[in-house]
Amino acid sequence: MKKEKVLSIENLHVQLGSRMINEDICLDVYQGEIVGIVGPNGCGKTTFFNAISGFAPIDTGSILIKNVEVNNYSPHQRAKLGLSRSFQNVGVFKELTLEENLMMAIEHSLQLPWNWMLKKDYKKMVDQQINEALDNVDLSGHKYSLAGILSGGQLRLLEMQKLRLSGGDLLLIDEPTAGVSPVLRNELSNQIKGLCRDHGKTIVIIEHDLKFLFNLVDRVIVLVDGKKYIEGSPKAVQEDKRLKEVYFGA
Amino acid sequence: MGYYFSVLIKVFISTTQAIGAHLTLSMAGIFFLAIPVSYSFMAYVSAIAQRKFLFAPEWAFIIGLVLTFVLGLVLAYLYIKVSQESFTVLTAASILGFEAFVKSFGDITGGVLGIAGIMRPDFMRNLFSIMVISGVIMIVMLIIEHLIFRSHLGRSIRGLKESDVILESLGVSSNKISTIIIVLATMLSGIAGGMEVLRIQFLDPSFGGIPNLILIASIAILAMKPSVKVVFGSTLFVVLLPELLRFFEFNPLIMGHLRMLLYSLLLVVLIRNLSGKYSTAKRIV
Repeated sequence: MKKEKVLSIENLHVQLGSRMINEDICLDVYQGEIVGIVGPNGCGKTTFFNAISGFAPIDTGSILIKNVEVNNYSPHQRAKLGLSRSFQNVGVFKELTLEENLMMAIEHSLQLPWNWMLKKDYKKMVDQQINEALDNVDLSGHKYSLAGILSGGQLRLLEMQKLRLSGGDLLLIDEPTAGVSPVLRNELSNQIKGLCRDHGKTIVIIEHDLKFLFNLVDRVIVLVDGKKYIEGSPKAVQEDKRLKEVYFGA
Repeated sequence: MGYYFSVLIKVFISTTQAIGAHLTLSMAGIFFLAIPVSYSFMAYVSAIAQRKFLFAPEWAFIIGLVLTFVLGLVLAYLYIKVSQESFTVLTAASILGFEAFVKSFGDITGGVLGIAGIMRPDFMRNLFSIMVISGVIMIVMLIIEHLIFRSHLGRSIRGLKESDVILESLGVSSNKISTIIIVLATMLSGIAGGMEVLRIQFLDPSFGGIPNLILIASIAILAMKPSVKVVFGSTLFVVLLPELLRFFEFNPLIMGHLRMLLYSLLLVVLIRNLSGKYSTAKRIV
């Protein structure tokens, strides 16, 4: 059975100032797939994510999320359509507690009424989901602490739980291992795999750690100078001589 | 008794006004400095409505509220359209702009001579009744602010201060949140101005202005936490502090200037010592 297309990008061009950051990128991502994006620094990976999520204006081309063209949608409208994303500098509010961060994700996902905190049933359900999420990443002890006190790795784990609870079907994850110790990377990898395997999320991920990425994804796209340069399975891309050229020169 | 009633009214009115500043300045990080403008605007609209257009005081107050709401929408629209820095300058300049407007259009506003003989509604004939009503308004507003802090709106307001990008990625419109709090802050400040003018029954261009901004900004900076107790406590402290000057035998002519000097010094001390205390950067280190 053919899987549903969750994200479809056709001939995407993004120009910032006089510089063309993304040029003629086409990409289809299917449900339950994990697609990795790699490339040297400054090749336009994050701008590509920003264009998909609505934070960077696109020049030409089209972006379809679940077959809905979202070119003119604002970021929060795209989020309502099922797009969730993480950020290089960690997309959690450091001035809010862990509980409040996860609560915001649940409120978005379940579209709770404004007065839900005054209703016992809702309160119990939300509390249960928060406790479960924090248990998953061993952060239960910090439930009422401000997120700003967590280490880089713990923040990433919290962000993954936030992504899971936010209800988005399509997740854009930007450099999840940035600032994360090697010990926590395995845990992070398992969390991302779990989002796809256990919760049916479709994931597009940008990552510089190629070993981490190749063990995680179903398909890899290599961007060079804002253009799609190589596309294939992790094995095929690893064996492609052009990958070495990109990273180490000819 | 009159003095104590007046001080209590001042505390209640300032708390109502400070809630708006607390939400915008402290919680959302929006440098909305037009708070004295909405304070004076509401006072002038209700005074003009009753003195020039002969509306009953109650109706004049309601007309003032409606127009202050419109002013809030205009200010929110400007916030969305211009950069944060431009908005800060624009709202600060609006204080002087409004004062110049009031002085220039003397036919309507009474110019530098102001508007005297502003009537109170029948149920607010004496200071005690004004104190009770302003106290009830303050309590209702504090309850509303408490509910906001516990709600999705409250978390979104605090999130907005840190990152509108993260907020948008969670499906929350940052424009909607900023519009709600700017309109709310404008209305709260307007209600405070409307109540104050009913108390003093006189209005001139010195009403509100920079002194009012310094008073309210001091309270907002002191109340950095998302708690209504802290807002009320900060207001009590800031409003009652200059009352200590009464125990010293200063020349009554310079009392007003001393009060402003004290507020200004307080503001400098607060910014110096408190503004960075709750920043995440320091906590992480």
